[in-house]
Amino acid sequence: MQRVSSSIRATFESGKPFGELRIIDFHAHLMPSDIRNAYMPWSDPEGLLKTMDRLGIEKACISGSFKYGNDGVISAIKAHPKRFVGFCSINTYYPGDVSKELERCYKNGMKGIGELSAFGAADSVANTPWHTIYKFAEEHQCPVLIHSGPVATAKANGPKIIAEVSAQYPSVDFVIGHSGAYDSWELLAEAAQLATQHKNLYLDISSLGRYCGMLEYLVEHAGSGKMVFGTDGPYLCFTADLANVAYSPIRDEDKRKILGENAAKILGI
Amino acid sequence: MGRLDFFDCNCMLGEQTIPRPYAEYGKEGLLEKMDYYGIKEALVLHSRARSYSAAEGNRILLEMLEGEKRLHPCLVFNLHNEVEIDNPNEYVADAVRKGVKGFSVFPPIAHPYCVEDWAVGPMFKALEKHRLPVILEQSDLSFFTRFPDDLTSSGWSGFSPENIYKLCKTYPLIPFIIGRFHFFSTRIGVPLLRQLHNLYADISYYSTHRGIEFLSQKVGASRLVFGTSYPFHNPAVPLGLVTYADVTEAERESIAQGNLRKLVRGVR
Repeated sequence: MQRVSSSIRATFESGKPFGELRIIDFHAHLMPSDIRNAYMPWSDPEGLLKTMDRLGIEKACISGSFKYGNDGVISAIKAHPKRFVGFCSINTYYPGDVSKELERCYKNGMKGIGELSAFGAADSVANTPWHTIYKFAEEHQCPVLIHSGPVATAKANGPKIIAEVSAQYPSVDFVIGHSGAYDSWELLAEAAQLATQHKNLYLDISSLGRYCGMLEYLVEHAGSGKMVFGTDGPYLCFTADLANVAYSPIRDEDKRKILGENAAKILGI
Repeated sequence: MGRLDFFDCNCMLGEQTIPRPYAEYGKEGLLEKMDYYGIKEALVLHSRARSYSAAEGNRILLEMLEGEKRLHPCLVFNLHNEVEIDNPNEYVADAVRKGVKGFSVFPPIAHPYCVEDWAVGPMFKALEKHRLPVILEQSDLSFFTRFPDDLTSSGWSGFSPENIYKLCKTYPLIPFIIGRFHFFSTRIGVPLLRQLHNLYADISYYSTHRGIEFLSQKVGASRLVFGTSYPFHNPAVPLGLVTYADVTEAERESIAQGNLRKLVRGVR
């Protein structure tokens, strides 16, 4: 394995926070610690900020859950406007509430939509209620982050169907959550190829730290200009995916694009 | 923070049924990978012992690692082994003479099992005599109860919390390590680790938010051992978790290598 000279890796190995390097987490959450499936220590805004400071993460795009979770995100972005970027969560099973909730979140300072998830066998990111969201994003020029994976739900939320939707809204930036590769190299390859074909389609690298080589593969096949750093924190620690980038045998120039430059362009900050 | 030495409690040599791109399966490749990531030593088992024949895989592993200083053999045994190992005392003593530093046990995937002393006692008593660490692979507290390349369907799950509790209580001189301790298992893992002084957690997949700091406060850093789960998992992640954990430098060093080294040095 060829080691590429990397000052980013050297800083990471020192355990010190990154200073000059711009790091924006495009895929994080604000969740209570005591959700049923997994205890997540210190997942309140202050707890997340402590980790972000320890690592040197400038901003995190956070989402909660429909309505109640959005309330928490609104409070966090009002308390820490320079550190958190609010993303709005929507449940399309309540079609009558979708527009109202989008408007409420937007008026309260949210800048993006997501992480959207297709729930249940009948749902799909191409279903009619989802287009209310995409039209709102088009009108307000908000990026849309969509959860993608696992393989079993690829028809509903896989890279291919997200790319099809993105083609219908060319002025909206769509980000494929986890690069579609929650559990599959095949979907990763598909996502990489589609990202090269659709100008407004990007790849979130959260959770890819679980696998060796996925980051190198994406740089080679999609290009670092199409990748955004994400952590899925606090499900996963912000450290996990930052470690993946820091140790990957790719150039620092690519790491800088992935860690912050691309997200800054998408968010216009 | 000075440069840490890392000692990996959980990695594997040998081909996988479904090979993973970018992963190395041979000894030289593994050593190269360890150099790349700055991992000094590793406890290693052979995939063939896990997925095919324990005896054959263990034999291949011992041949591969002969004279090797950085890779320490971890043999695999089947949980119920009386039909194949006549004398566990001799078997384990021979393994220790050959430099074996740990054992890994997998539950069967095609027939029922239990961890009662009448069914598993002879082997565990032999391991206890030598203070050999035992990695409990495929527990219900692990990241996956079956390996992703394991194509055999199974109606049985991994070692349950009750199994782990019973094993630790029945064989208190064996250090048991939960392989790939899952960040979803915190709620059941904390009471287990608190009550069982001989239980440890491999942190390779324990990547929840500030998880190392949290467990260090709840159960003590002395119960956490560094692991990579390579080649299934990316070593960068556990390296990062330890490097940036908000713990004391002494705790960090003990998680990175001190705790596992103590267990391995305890083998007699």
